[in-house]
Amino acid sequence: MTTDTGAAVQERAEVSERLWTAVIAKDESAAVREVFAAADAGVGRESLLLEVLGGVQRRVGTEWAADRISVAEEHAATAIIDRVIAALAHRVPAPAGMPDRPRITVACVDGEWHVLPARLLAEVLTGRGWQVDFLGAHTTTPHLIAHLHATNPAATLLSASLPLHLPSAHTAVTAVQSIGIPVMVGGAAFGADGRYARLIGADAWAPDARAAAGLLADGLIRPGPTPRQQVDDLPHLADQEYTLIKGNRSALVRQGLAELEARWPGMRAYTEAQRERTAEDLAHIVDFLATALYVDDPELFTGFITWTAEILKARRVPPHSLRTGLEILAGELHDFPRALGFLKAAAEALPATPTTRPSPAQE
Amino acid sequence: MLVVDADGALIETNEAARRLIPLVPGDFVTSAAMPAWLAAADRALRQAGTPADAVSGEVAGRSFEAYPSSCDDGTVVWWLLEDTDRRLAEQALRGERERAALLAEVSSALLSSLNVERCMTVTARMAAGHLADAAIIVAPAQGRRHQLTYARADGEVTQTMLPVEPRSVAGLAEALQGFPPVPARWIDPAELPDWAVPEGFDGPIGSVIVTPLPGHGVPAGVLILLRSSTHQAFTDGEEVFARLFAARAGVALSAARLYAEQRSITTTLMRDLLPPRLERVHGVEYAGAYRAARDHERVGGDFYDVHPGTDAGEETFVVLGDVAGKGLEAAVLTGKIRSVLQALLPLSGDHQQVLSLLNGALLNSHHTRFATLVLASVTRRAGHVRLRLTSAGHLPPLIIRSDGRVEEAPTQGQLVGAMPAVTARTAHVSLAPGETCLLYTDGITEASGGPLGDQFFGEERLRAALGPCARMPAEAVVERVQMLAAQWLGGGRHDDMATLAITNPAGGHGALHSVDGHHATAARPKAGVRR
Amino acid sequence: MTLHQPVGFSVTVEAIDSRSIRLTLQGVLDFESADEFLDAVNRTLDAHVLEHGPALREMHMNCSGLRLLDSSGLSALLTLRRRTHPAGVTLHLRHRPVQLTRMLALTGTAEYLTAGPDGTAEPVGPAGELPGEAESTSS
Repeated sequence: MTTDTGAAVQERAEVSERLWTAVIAKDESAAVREVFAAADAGVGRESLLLEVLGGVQRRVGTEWAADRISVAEEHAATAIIDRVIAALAHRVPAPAGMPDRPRITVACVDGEWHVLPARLLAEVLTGRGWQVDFLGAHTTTPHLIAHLHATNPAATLLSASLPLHLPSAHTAVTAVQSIGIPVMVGGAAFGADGRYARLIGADAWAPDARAAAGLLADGLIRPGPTPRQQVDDLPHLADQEYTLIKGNRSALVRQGLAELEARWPGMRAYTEAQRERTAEDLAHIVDFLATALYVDDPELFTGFITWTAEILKARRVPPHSLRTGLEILAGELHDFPRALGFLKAAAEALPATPTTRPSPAQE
Repeated sequence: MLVVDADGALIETNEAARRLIPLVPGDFVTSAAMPAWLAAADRALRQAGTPADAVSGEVAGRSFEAYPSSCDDGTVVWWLLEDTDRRLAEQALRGERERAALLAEVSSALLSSLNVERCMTVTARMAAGHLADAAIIVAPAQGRRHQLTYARADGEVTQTMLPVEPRSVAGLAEALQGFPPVPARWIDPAELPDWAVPEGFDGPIGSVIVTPLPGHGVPAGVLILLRSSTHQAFTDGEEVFARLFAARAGVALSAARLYAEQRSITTTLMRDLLPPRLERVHGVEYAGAYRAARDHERVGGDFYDVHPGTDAGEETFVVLGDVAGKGLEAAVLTGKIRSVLQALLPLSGDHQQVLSLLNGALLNSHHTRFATLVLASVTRRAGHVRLRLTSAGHLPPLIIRSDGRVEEAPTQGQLVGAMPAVTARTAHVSLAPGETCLLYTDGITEASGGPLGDQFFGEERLRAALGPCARMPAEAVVERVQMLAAQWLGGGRHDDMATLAITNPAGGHGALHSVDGHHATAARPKAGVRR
Repeated sequence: MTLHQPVGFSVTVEAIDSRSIRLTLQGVLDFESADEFLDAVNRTLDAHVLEHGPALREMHMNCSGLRLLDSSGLSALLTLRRRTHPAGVTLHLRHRPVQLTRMLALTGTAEYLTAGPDGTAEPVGPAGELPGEAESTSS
């Protein structure tokens, strides 16, 4: 491993700031120049990837949450960081003299478009001598499995950022294990302590790219040849609450919209776009509720609702629309005891505000 | 029956006991002729001084249970009852159960993988772990060389490719051709060549089994089992079981080999059908994204190509299109169209002529499949990208201006391959730095879903989503469109979806020469690997 | 909760006489339903020939209930024309929803599909209605 000198640490902090400016200005060539200059000044390859580029990416997320940049700007910034990684990989090849390590596969689970954490991991592992097949964002499980049959890697590393993708991560993990290949998972979706990684039976969980590289170097144990189904890991799924809510998402959203309109006639004056935003917000709540039911963790849902309240606050939207949404869903789901419990817990976690009128949540 | 007195001396034995144990009254139980387990039981009984349970052991190769009855004077009478048959039956049953469990484990472990190397590794490891001290799998020849998989009993597995002379091991040449295995006793372990003994194998080899791994008609390889001379030689029963094991493994290996062959054929045939990887050409960014209608397929009815101009002054010719239908059948037609267009490249200065010739080429086929497409001829002059755009029955390209306005390119024309003659109107468009021209197929706008579940994504939402894409790199634009369409679908069914962005880079000409045309890093998504 | 109804496709024969057939199309005419559509219409045409001989001149299709016609659907209409046009039968696409009008305009196929035996297309308004017919409002 490279141990950075004090000067390099200083250089790293400065380059991070200049890189941020270039990325936000969508100035790709300036961004590349900054990173190349830092590499020439002695900032190590992994530091550039994880601290500098990874740091700027984390800042993009924070700035979006605080409503200081838009989703499209976030997307453009991510694209530029991705291009910088490509340029860096070309300019600063993996250090020589690394052990020749086996072939591995890195991918984002089905539905996951946040590709950068996996991309950075792939670069770090390549730098440490692994032969990495990087399948990119949104890798469907059939495609992943076909790739594994063809390449027989020593391990598969799956990334997921949004907890919404835990069910598809679970499907992917069981499918990969069923062909006898160990799976390590990582990313914000699995919880800060990796609790959901254990829940879905992954063979390993890593909190960050360096930890993943360490675990991989220690060797993962191949899973035994005993295929299992998701319900074997999560017996609570037998109550069908997840299945029914997931399967009737559109109906729940439609009824929710109608109910919202009945409670607040002003909604009739909404434009199509406003109605659609409101429907999307409701759909998002339903999706998170379903995911929380899947992992049977009310905290996941409460966490999402309080986080959303923060996001709305940053956009100066009062949170009572959120509370109304929860109430309406509770009305629709009166036959679903687990879901009701989650909705109640989330509503109690919201800061109390006088209810005046709901307004559409905006992006 | 034996009677032993308090001092441990034999007082009496009956006829049956004398035939088993050659001792006479007066001899001590400690004498060498007394089975050690019985002597030990006798001693233990006297030390404990209490009635003991029955013990068991072997006498003269037969199995007995011995029941003691103690008398008050310290005399012990040992009654010996033979249980050889029961024991053999029990042993056989246990063996059968173990073997059945092992066969089930073999099938389960092997059938889960369709990878040939992995199947060989697992087979060799299980064979070495359960049947022998070491196992070697000899794969069918590739040229003169064979892939060899070695496994030791400790689980260590290695693979290598070596030129191997099949006649060097008795029965190997026959087994590779699928003839029945040679009995183990015919094989002289001393004559095994060096390659047939795994590295680190301890001591001389005692016995060898060579058995084919029978496959679908031809053997999937040959399994060689080795046992060290310090162990018992393979019995007839073990030879039979090794054949059963090999049969299971052979089926799995053949399935894996068949899958690999099919996949290799598909890969070869599909190579020209896969969407190409796009890159910057003559200062203009190109990026494409493709998602096939079916998750497990990588090709479909949408296609795109970028044919770079021979130099910066020449036009680069771009096409994006859609044939009716899905899957491989549609993909084959896209391959034909792409070939025809490639042949028509010298005529690409005249879009109308290209379309008429393509129309004629497609009409001749007997089916009614047609295609809609957009042709784009691209040059870069004085910082601006000039486009000639012609739609043949396709959705008109969208132009993202640097101020966020989204315009439809004013081109319109008839689809090709269904009508005797086609006409089209070409649009001339100029892109300032930071502006993008997006070509896309109706899989994007016809994506059905959204929060209410059954709405089409539609051109309006697409235009709204493109507004903020001003001054974005081409890759970010296509990624954003694909992402929004995928999220709109929310896991629902969809048609093929293709997008291609032509971008005049915001940062000016040639800013990123370092990545132009280079995709050297291993971590980049590979064209053949990505969805 | 009410369960979500999947979108289907149907084609119904409304009226038949020796010179004309009237059909109603409903739902989504796409990759999944194109073959079903062609089978149904071909059966109807076969039966008509058996009963009336080659007397058929017009085939009217009421498209007001057509939610979507994709490229496979258009392919089916073009295939149908391969049979009807040489037989002297004119296709009429009535009450075209906005999406169908746009699809036909985009692909430049409207005139070709509805061309009469002499090669002239039927006079149609912007929404595909015949003179005197009310414009369809469904889309």
